[in-house]
Amino acid sequence: MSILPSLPYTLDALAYASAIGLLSMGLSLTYATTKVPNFAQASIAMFGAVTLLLLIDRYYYYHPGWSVFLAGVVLGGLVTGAVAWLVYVTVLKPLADRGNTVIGLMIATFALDIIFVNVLTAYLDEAHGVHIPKLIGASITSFEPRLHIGDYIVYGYTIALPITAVVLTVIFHLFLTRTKFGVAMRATIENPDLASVLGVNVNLVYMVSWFLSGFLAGAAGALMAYTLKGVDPSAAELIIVTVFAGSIVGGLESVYWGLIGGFIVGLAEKLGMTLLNNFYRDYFVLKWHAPNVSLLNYEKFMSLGLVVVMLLYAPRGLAGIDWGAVARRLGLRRGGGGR
Amino acid sequence: MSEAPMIEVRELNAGYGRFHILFDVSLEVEPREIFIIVGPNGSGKSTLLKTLFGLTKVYSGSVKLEGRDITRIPPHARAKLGMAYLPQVGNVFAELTVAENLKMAGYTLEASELEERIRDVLEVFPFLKQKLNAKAKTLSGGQRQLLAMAMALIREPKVFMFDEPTAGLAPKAAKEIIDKMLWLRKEKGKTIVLVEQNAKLALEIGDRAILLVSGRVAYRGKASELLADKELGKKYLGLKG
Repeated sequence: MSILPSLPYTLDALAYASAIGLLSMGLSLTYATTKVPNFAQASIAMFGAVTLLLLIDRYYYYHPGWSVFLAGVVLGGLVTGAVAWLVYVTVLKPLADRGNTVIGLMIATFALDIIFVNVLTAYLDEAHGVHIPKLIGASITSFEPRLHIGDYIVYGYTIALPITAVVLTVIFHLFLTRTKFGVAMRATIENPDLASVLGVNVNLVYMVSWFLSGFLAGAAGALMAYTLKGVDPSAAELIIVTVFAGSIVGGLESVYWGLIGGFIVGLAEKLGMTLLNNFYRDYFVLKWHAPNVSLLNYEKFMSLGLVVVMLLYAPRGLAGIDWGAVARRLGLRRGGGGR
Repeated sequence: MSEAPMIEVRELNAGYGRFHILFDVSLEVEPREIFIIVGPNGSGKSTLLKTLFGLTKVYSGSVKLEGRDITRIPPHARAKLGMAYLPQVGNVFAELTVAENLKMAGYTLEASELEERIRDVLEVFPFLKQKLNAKAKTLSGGQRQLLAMAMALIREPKVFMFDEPTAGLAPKAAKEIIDKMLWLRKEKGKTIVLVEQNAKLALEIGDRAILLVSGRVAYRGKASELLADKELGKKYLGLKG
């Protein structure tokens, strides 16, 4: 047996990694602006998933089609962006104004995480036959557009999620570099005092950063429901570990590296663990009659292992690495000795 | 009718939280003059400048700008009234390009007006034209100070307040900064308040000065007379007789 995973599985892993990348990017954004480590990021994303569920039940149940992905991303993003904005305006800002430190704000996001998971779970439990009359349970798996390529079935979300990640990143990059407000946002991240003196409404920047972070989370959350094979708000409790791992691997305060860190960690959990599992199966279980245990249940080992390695060898994450010096060392770029 | 002083400080007591640093400081800065604040390390020079811009806690006393009491108004409102404060570090956005820094400086201006002002400023600081797409962190220390000056100039303030702008710079770069200050006063009619560690350099170009020692004014008068005062110069400013 080959230890390489199949094409559909690889595509599924890429889709999962793209979603984690978007979630980590949003986490890094709000950390860079308001210095709040948001432990509710994954449960906030579940509002996107529930929005998608309602969309399918209300409309796509009778009109299945590829536009479900676009509608899921846009509506899921907007709803979740609004939730994240509300979280900042009604909870975090008042707490910060009263002098709470980062620890207090972090604990507040823990509490919000529990509240969101429970509220959404209760809503879905009540939902059968009431809010989502057509769908059975919270399952959406039979309502996804798909392609037949040779012997393989390629699920639509495995194409939609990476495309969404690329498109949203490009739009976000253009916003940050080409618009006046985007430049002000970068300026505020670097030096809020100076930005304020120059007339930037720093509080507005913070509010917008929470909305954008929520939008990214909601867009990812909506499509991620497909990779999770259904809408289960409690899945957020496991996803948040991976999202934080991605953000830390990226460097926590760098938005773009957050995306890359999340993508790497997501890929490591799915593809990395599968390679390890297949290797174990072929060389230990079959040859040496080792216990036939599936390592796939331990995928967080990969993400948390990466965090440990990064904290040991590159504590400032991928963003803190002098890539010019690395390239010179590998002989990829000529030049002076670096710093 | 005589003109109101550009800045008038009366019996000012200020500091950080409970750390009282300035004691009964009074001074007057006239329009279009170069006013120097000197003193040994830890005498409260930078704190005084920050207090003029509203960045410290004022316990008592008052600060007026052109006769208007600004003691209790926040920094961004002082900036709107025509004050520009240029701290020693953190006065530009290192991760933004020079062009983005200049745009940020005129954040509250209309696009057409901002464009015009950027064009004018680039004539005054021509080296920036070649650096527009470079990140500010790639500029030398002197160039960053000049960029900070250019950013302040875009907002057309009445008063420029510099905190040790030549610290750590090579003599040539320091001279360029001082030349630009003289130009600001002569050609643009701006008022300049300068805190400087290099007392000789500052007092040579200044009109009037104060010497701060342990947060109190030890001398107030003409800059040239302070420079000529051998006793004070030797005791507090490290000037040779």
